[in-house]
Amino acid sequence: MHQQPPKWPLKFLRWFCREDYLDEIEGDIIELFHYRSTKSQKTASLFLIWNVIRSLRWVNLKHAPVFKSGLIRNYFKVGFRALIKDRQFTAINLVGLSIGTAVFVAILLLVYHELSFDQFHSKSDRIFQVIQDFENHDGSDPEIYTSSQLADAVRQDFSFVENSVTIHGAASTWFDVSGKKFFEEEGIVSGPQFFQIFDFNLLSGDRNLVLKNKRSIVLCESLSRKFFGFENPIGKEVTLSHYGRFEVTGIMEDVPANSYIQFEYLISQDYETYFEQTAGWYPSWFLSWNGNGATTYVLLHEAADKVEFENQIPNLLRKYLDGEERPNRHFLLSLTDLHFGSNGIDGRVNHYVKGDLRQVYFLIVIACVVLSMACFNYINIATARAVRRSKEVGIRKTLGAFQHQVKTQFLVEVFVLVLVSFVLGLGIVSVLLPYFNTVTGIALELNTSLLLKTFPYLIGAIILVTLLAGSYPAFYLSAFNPVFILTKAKASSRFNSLLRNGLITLQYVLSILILSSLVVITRQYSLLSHASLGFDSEELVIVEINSGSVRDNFSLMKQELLTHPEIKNVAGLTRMISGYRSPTSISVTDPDEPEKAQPMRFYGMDEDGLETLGLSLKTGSNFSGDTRMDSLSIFMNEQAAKLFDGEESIGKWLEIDSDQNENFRARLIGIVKDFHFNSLHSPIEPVILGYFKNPFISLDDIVIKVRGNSLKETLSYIEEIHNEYDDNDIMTWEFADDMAQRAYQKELIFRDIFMGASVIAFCIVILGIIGLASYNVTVKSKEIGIRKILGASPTLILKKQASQFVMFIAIAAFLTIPLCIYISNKWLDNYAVRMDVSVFLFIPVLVAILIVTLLVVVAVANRIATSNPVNSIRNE
Amino acid sequence: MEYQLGEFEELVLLTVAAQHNEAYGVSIHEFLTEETKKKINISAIHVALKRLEKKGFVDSRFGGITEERGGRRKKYYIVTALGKKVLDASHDLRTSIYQRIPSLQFAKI
Repeated sequence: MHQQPPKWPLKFLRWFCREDYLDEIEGDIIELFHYRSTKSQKTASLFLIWNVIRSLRWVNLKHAPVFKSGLIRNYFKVGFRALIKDRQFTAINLVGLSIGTAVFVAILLLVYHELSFDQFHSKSDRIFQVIQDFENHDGSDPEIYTSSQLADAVRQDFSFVENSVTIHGAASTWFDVSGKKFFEEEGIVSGPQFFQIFDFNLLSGDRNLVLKNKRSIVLCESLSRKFFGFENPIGKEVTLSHYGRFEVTGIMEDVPANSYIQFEYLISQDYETYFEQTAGWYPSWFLSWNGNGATTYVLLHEAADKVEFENQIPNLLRKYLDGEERPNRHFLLSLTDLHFGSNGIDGRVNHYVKGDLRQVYFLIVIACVVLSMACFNYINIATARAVRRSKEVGIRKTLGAFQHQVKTQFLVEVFVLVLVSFVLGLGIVSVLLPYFNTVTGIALELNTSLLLKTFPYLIGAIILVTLLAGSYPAFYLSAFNPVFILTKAKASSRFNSLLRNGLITLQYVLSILILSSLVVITRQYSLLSHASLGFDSEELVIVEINSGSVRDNFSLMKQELLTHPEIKNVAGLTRMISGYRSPTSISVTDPDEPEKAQPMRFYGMDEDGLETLGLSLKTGSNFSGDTRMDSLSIFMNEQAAKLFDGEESIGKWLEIDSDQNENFRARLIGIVKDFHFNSLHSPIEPVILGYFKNPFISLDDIVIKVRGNSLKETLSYIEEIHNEYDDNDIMTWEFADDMAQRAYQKELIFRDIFMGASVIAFCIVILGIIGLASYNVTVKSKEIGIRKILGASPTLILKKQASQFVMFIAIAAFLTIPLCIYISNKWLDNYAVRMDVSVFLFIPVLVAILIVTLLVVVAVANRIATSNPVNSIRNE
Repeated sequence: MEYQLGEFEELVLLTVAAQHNEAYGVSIHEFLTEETKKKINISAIHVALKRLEKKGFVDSRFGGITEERGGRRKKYYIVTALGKKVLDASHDLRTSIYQRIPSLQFAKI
């Protein structure tokens, strides 16, 4: 295998190296690369870059003026000296730029992670997920679930489909590994085509064979470590409590964090035997064409178009479905689009979390803002202290320097500063990345291969930042008229101070904008997570039901639970009300108006459901406790009642249809007050609350209202009872509060990152103010001295120093607050529950900025304001 | 001895002389890293070779183009008569000083 050496370092080498040395140097470096790449491509590339850098020597340089001019050396020398001489200036910029770089790099790492989802599959542009759209009266209602039969059928019937596979989330299950027990939750079931379509890295086992036989299991590396330590697990046997015995046929590298498909183990398809213990309608439904319990992925041929698939799928479905049934619309979504494109599409497998493209863009903007703040600091301080360098420029020019040479000199100085800051910034990131990762919950890495890949971009960023920060100061300084500078003592320009004032105002504008957004975001999210949901989620424990024996013996179990003094109430629910899990879709028809079917959501609960959840009845009465009557009774919420005749509909019989074409008639016995069952992103939908024994969906959650005392003891009692009825599963439980919070997981992470970035941005602005204020004070030390002699008090002098900053803040506030209000309102429109935005919200931000600025200015100016004026005026 | 020869330069010159007619950057690098058990950067060898050539201790010629060098020619080095003389002189100097070490019994360190 012949590896190609990385191109750009060699290009760089050819750029600077003497032609006559190139044969030897480049040839040797490439030859060494090939020796080393037999061991590891990565270290070989690193060595190559190192060798190129080490070859950047004086003797090897071309005889071009760029390289061999003594001036360049002089620029570096003078640049270093200037930086060392003015330590405060250098320190402020170095700290600002390196922190700015650190934030920039950390955020871009996150953005890179988000944008790189599923790119690691070599065929990723041809892999698609089949989405089924349950169109109803509201429009489309897409889901990732299709029939389990679809994958095989499209592979056989469609010539343009190269391959296809079904993936099905496995149940949480106990693993028995030679007597040791482990509980694992993240598994999938898939077919032998899995490793032909996806590029997950198989460490041992044959890609084509690992899933070929029934009863095969592929483990991820970390799971295999956990089960078998460092033994070779291939051929060993494991027993899964839900699925039976399996032979380990392959070991896979752990699934990358930037993969849509997440799992820790993978078992081969054999649904018939997996379902042996599952009673009821589920197995036959799952295996039928009507079922929609599996996800389907297709790999199209290179020339094929997804439109072709979408055009032909209705015919295929008609062929396999019963004649009368109209097939749902199916369409394809590219694998690489799933992460961001799947908003609004229901369903997911395992613990994957959807991405939000708006957040990604927002993060990019913040990263750039933070870095530009540091650049503005440089421009401000550099132009303010330009006078100090003006004599130097005058002399250089008198001695014959061209303007462009002086410009280069100052740019080189900035370049040195930026280069050092970038190195420091990368250092900061690599040290603090673990903390960042605990905030984001994503294991980001700043490794060598990533640095290698992004090295040209890093260089580009350094040059860009250099130009952004250095262009204007360099232009300004190099444009000095030498005669003017050398004869008169002072050079000042109106445009210069205008620009400086403008930039400070801009910094304040951005600070106000960022900090106000922070206030709005924090307020809105806390509103979301503490909003009254319309039901009482406090001290509510949700226990998942994972086995048939619990379902069958639910009432016995309930009685036993209720004997405990700390347990107030117990109810069975088909699904806990929470934005984290979506309820069943149904449609409801009044038999008197059969043409008007209303799409709604469905929850089932037992007679204690209303009380346990704290739902209040507007009118009507609760379930009677008589199963026969109750299973034919329903409630609806106020939204649903609006679609019918309101309270007058009570007592009416309504027709209820599910997606799966099951239906029943039930009598409306009451109207409950509206409550939020989705996340607060979306408005309250019409919902039907039926009995837990219904044709659609079985009992799935036990909801237990506890008293707040000795919670630990109560929980262990619940667990004891649970294990009495289900000895197969570990009890999975959660507080309803936490469950509700989980719908906002992504938002909370985003808020934390945003909070960190905005605080840092503001700190950088403060740094700039320190630099500028202290410079102003030094320049004006004589003026201040004279004022003091003429009787000005220190307070008055401080006031004068501070007044211009107050002015900047006032202008910035005036410009920014309307913008803040506009942007906040725009953003808040995405939420059904939203806070009110008013000017008063931003006043604390302004006050905070004002106080911090004044403190800084006073601290800096205080020394001069209280000093003896003689010191500043005397000139001997 | 009026010729300047650094320690590393001497090692490189010795290697060039040892790998008669076949010495070029990579071969010298390989030889020296193996013998000295130290990490040596190829660029350091290039610099040393340049200096040796400038001082007239080695001569060079270009070899043919090979694929594994990305289409670049090998630059072979061969020790000159002057180079050989310098090596001899250096060797003589060292041995003559070495022989003056009195044969003492060193205590075990």
